[in-house]
Amino acid sequence: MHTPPPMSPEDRRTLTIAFLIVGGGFVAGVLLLFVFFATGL
Amino acid sequence: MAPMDQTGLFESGAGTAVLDPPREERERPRPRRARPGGGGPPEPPRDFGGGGGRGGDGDAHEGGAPEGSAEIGFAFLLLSIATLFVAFLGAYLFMRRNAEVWPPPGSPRAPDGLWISTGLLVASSAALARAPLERRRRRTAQVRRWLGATLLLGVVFLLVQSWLWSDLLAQGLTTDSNAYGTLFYSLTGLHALHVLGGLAFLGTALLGAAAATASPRRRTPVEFAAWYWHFIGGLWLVLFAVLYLG
Repeated sequence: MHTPPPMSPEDRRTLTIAFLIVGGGFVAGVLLLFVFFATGL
Repeated sequence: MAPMDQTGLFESGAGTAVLDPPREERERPRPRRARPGGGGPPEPPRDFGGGGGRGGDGDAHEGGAPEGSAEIGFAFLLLSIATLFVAFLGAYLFMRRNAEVWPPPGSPRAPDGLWISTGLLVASSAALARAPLERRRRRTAQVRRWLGATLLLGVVFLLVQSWLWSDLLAQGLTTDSNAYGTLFYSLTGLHALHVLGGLAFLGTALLGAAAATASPRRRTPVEFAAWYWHFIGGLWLVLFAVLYLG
């Protein structure tokens, strides 16, 4: 039985930051849509 | 300062000795790392525990992709799918808000049969919730059973969707009819495509159920297939709320 190797802290940090950037863009986009509909612009 | 090792094996990149092992150890030839399949038959690739613990006496850290990398990649996948649907839902809501009458005159309402589709997906998600639990208990037969039940419910969901589409087409609503028709078929069609992908995902997990139950990984294709399916099910609830209840 082979245990998977751990991810290096650098890789984990880089990927987490990338995900937060993309995820933040997504949340910002959804919020913009919400504001757009709520204010009737 | 530590004495310099003659072989250079214990030097850091800067040329500084970082270890000072006993003399007998320094003079002993360094053993070669065990390579998988080095003395025997070639070993299958190990990804997601796909080797299932077969063969290999190798290094404990040669189990394929690093733990955690698949989770992050998977999160990106779900995020991109969510973005796609938000874009289409935004378009639908925009068209609906600007229309005086919605659906446009002459267009049929979203069919009541969507309740059946919703029930099927909820039931399939409930069935699939058992699969990861059974995997952790190392019960391959039970994992197969729940994955198979989900697969079956997913196929029935697609059949019901096809029946509802054919019914709407018979009532004259096509993708060319108006924006409502275009967006209704786009949203439900895109979702059906993702369900189809989910069925392939579940099928792969079903075929690899034995390897998954033997895998030391915390997450295997069984867990990823379950997450994907629950995500697609949740997406359907949003679509149902907007297209039918909204």
